[in-house]
Amino acid sequence: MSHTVSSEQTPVAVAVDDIYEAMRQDGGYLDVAPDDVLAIYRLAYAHAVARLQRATPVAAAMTRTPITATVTDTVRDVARRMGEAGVSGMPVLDGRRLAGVVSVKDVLRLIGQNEQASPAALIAALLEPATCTRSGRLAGGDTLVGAIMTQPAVTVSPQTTTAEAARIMTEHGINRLPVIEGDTLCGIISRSDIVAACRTEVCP
Amino acid sequence: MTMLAKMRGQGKSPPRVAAGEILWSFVGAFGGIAAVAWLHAHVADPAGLSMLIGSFGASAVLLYGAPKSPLAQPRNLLGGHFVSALFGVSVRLFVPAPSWAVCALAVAGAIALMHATKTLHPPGGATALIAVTGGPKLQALGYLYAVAPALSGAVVMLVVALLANNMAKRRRYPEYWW
Repeated sequence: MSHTVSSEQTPVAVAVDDIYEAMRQDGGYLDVAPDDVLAIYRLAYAHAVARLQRATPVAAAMTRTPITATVTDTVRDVARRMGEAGVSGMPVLDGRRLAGVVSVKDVLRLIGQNEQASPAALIAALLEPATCTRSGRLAGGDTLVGAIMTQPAVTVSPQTTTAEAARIMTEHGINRLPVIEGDTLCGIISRSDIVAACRTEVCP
Repeated sequence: MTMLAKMRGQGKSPPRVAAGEILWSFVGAFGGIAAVAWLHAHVADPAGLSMLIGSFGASAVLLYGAPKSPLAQPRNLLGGHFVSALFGVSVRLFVPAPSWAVCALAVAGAIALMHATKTLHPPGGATALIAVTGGPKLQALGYLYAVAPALSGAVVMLVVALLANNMAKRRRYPEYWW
């Protein structure tokens, strides 16, 4: 993977005046013009970002104790637990082995909705008189998770870099990756974990 | 960017240094040049040698006025004077050319050589020029010019720089030796 290092914007927009003040604070004679210090600072910042993106392993950013489902759970139960935990998917275990991943998308498909539907689209569908009169409740709640989950799951190892994990997520259009070591689930990494890692690594 | 736009200059001029910096620059330079000039008058000159050349005035600006500068570090100070002196003497001895061309070659070559050896030290340019234009007494030294006055004077100024710059609370010298 190649990183083109350019004069990337720094998180805090450091201006020439800030460099000037810092040089004045130092008090000594620095054999360099403020604009050149700024240019070097920006390049160094871009190098630091590139280095951290290359270096941060998934293990440092993942959630270590993810909420999991088992293949014999019902969809109703799993949907309820996803709602309670505020997540949109979870790994599905078969014993200790990772069997797959179930997400809101799988459930939407089961109940005959567009799997890309937004919350607003779902509310609109629920408010539609035809939906309510057709049946008091949606069918499919007793279906077992093992029947609707996505399998095999796309996974990463703890040593995978966050940059690589981000690439895999984008390529597969998914939001979370179970992290497995051998056959054992040791965590889960989501898009928001990667975003959070970028912030804390780059500006602690 | 057009040449004219470049010539306008767009950067900001650096701040003035703190008052303590001005004082310590004065103290260091006074001590450094005093040491070299005293040794010249009382030791070198009576022995038919020399310790004092004009380029040490320029070295004092860097050593005591801008001790953080890469141009002022020991490698640059010692190496810059030494290689420039060697080159200057060589040009005077072996290049049969009009004096204007000998002068130009001595300085330009010294700069190139200092760059190549990572010893760029602006006063080295003066040391090379003085090797060519210096009076009969300096010319009589031959290659000894590179050792005394060039290298020995630089060593004396370095010792003073180590003392004076590290005496000041907010200064330190060198940034690196080599």
